[in-house]
Amino acid sequence: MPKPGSVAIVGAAELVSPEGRFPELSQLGLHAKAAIMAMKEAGLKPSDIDGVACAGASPTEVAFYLGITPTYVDGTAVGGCSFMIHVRHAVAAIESGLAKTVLITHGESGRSGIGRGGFGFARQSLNAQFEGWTGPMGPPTMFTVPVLRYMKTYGVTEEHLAMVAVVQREYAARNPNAMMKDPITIEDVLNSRMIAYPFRLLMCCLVTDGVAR
Amino acid sequence: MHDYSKVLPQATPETQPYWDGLKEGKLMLQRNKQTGRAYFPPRPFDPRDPFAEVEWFEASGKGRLLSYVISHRPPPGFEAPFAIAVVETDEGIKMMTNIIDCPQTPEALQLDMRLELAPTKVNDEITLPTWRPAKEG
Repeated sequence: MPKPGSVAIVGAAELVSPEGRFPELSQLGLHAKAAIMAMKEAGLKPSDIDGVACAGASPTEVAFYLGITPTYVDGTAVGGCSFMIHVRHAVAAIESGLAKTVLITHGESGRSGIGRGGFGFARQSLNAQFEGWTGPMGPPTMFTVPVLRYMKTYGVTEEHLAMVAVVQREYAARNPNAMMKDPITIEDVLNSRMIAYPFRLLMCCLVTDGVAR
Repeated sequence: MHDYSKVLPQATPETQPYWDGLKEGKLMLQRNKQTGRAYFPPRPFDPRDPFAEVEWFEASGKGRLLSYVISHRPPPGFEAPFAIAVVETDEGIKMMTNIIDCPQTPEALQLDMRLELAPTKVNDEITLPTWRPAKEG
């Protein structure tokens, strides 16, 4: 149990519509609107908040949208009681030092149905509107886009990138469960098929079925 | 370049002016009225200061190529190879895009090259904010 007086609810807000409709806001916008109202009540700015919890939407998306860089996120989604669990988790997180101030949001465009679908590739999601249509598909094109800029800024070459795969293969050779164990060279990597310039086949992770306990 | 059998964006009330602007060939962005600083993607508040007033404005449609990859594995509706790029506009916001009217090669796509907005109309609802090498500065 938390120590008495160690954690407090410092702000809360709800949007009220007698008709039960907010036709001017998407689901993500509802999360944000309520969050901003609660911040105002508590006298906090986004930079004062280091934890974000929500269900339905992605807590990282809500944090991004609000300009929060969290050290703690909680996306526990177990139905309508998720938010009570978020409160308990937030108390534990604050007591254990994982976060100082946690924002818990809920937003649901249940009647208007604007921007529902949170995580996914729904056409009104941030992803579909501002990223998805440019054509990334899977890790080789989703995680790699900033790398050319990094290479230019820090003088990283394609040989340097290839060395990562070479060293990882050396590690794999010592792992009896590894799928590929034969040593490879920088030349092997740089001669392998281009997947997403500057990333070649041997720089990409293997696709496997996996399980661990 | 594309046949658009892919999933297309759909506006929300918060982003409607952005997509409406593109239909007219304009890049509509939002900025903080006090600081003048732009932010992206569109939303009814400035994430740096959610209590400040914000406004829409027509951006220059000029920018530079910040980073990219050239994908050789096209998802439905794309023809490989094609670049997935990030442009930094002169207003300082970063957006993902495709670069058109340009060979999709490392030689043609030089980091920091000047780009200009060249929207691609897909249908009556959606015009995508594609960019191309700038004809001048």
